Amino acid sequence: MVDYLSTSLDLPSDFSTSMRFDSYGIDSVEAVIMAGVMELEFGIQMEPRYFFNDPSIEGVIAELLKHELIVKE
Amino acid sequence: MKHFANISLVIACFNMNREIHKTLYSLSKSYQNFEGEIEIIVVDTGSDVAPRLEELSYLGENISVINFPSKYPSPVDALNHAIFRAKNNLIGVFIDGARLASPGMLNASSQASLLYENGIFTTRNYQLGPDLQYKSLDSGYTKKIEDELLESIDWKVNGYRLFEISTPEQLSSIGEPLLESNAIFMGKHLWEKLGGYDPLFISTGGGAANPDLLKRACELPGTTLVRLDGEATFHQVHYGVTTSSVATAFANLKQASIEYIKVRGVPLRPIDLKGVIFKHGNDV
Repeated sequence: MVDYLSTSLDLPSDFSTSMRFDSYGIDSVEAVIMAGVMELEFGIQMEPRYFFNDPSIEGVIAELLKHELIVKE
Repeated sequence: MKHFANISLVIACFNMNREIHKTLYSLSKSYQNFEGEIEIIVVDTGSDVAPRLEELSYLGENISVINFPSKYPSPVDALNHAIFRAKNNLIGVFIDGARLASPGMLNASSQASLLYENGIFTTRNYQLGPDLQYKSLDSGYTKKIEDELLESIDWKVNGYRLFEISTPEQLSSIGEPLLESNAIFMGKHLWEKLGGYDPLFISTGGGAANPDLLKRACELPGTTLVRLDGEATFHQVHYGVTTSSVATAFANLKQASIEYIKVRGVPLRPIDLKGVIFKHGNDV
């Protein structure tokens, strides 16, 4: 999932999963666009709070784990 | 020597009676201090109360109102219908008619079009109020507060003060990746080459039709992305597609994103093309 998101968002190769989206120039509109991408790619229903509580890749994944929409491998 | 190109403006309207009149005022010849000819086509997609031509007579003779109810909640078919009947060679389109224009927009796009025949002339998107409207509405922002804000800066006298009471939609600066532009201006020949907006975008408000149009235009061989520095549109609150509540904005944007992937096969991304920055007769 991290690989998919980093590719979709054109993140630099040394990006940190804990950095806020806006530090990469990704605003809230683009974050929601990403929600649509994830919904289609992974078949999970995305909610605004998954993105806005902690707007980082780690934050989104933590929310998805918390709501049991994904499981840790 | 002629220093301007005549402009046709196509403005989409749906249930925004308060907002459309302000938008049209901001596009009037006197507000824009524009010497050329302006043709305005308001295309209403099925409002409960559509704007009436007689209410708009102050804009002069070159205004028409087309009623074009669509079977989809997207204005794309209606916009295309209006775009291809526009008579001037430079055509500017507002996919959302609830946006005030900054007062130099028409002169800037007109002047730039004389330098760049295959230019795609873009402006930055702002939203009136202290924050993006899907957030500020949840904090009590209303049309009444917005009217008071507008009055406080006397926007009809100095439209550039609109920047003082607005929030930019994108984090990026001019010259950085651009997702969309509302308004967008291009020569008629480019609109024709593109076939207008893609009618496959049928979701509310046109979904991602506007960023898609910008992307396709920039991909046309020989075109130049021209960013009109210092000019912008300012969204008035009307409980619209992406400016109502957090939940509604999220749902509509997410749907637009999904529709885009289904239509184009790739995720929607901003255009990473610096282009040319143009400011009142000077390009950088």
